[in-house]
Amino acid sequence: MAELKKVSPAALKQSFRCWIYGNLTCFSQEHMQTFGYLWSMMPVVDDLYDKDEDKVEALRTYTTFFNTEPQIGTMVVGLTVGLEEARANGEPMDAETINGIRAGLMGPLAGLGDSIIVGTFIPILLGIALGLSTGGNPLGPIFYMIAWNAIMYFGMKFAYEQGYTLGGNAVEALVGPDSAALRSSIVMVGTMVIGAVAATWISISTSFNLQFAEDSAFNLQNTLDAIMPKFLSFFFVWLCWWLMTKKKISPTIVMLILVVIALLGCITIPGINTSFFNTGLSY
Amino acid sequence: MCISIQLNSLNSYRSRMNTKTLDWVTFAFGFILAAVMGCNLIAAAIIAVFFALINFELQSLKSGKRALAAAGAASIDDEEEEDI
Repeated sequence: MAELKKVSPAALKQSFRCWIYGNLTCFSQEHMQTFGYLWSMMPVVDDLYDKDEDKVEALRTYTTFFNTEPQIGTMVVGLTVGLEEARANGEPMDAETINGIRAGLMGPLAGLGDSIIVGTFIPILLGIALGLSTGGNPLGPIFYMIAWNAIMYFGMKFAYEQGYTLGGNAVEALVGPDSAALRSSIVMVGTMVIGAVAATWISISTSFNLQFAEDSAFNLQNTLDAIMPKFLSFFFVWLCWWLMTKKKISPTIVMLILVVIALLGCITIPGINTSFFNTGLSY
Repeated sequence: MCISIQLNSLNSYRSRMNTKTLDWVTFAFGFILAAVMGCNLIAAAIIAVFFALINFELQSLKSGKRALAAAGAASIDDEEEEDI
């Protein structure tokens, strides 16, 4: 019987270091933390697989978009290390399941992390540091630098280790008799959360307005809102999906197309003296 | 009113969504939860988990029934073989 593969402690440490120092590596609007995540998975994949083809195949899973609150989100990295370990041991763990878990967790954890770390923890820490800084005392900034880095380092390490343990335990459920049902449910959560992310982050509205008489006007936005709020946002999401998936257009070109649409939409239509989008500029 | 398009989420759903109708239905449901009902991401995720649990139960039931049917068919085959 072949020996079960296990990620070495050195690879785990390196993976954690890659995440803690490089979670925002190559940050762009298109990819955000994707490459930071990919970089942190590289030591693990390198440790688990011998053949280059297997390594490439495993790393391809982590090229999918990822963005969360980096401190709390460390748990997701640890969790996928556990899942990757199971995949290397021949468990039927596909990329869709791993990405379903990632997508399902990144949104809620970002919300939690932003409220706990950015909204609560940092202001408290800064409050203490500002109190210590009274009268130009250098103890304030020194305290903040030491306290923030120490608490974050050990906190993230704890989250990573917890995630790794959780990933190992989750594997048993994911490959058990109800694995297909469980995986489809995970994908369902991921897709639903991505839908909510799209509605939260994308905001498109129109200023198209036709004035027929003094007391009679047609407002397109009101009509669209009556059909479904954020109808235009949904339409543009669908349009981008269609362009990228069906027409195989790269995200950068899609962005340029949207810029062109936005520019054209801002041109005032002659005769009716209105434009589709309002630039918000006043002269 | 202005246009503000953030494309950072597009890649995430492009890779998640394929041509399956169910994917679009669940995507639209998540979208409606946030857009129409004003749910934030955590609330949307909690509701998604509830639906996922229902889906899990239904799928398990279906696969259980299938397994039961397969076991039943196998036992009938065995009986027929014994008769022969």
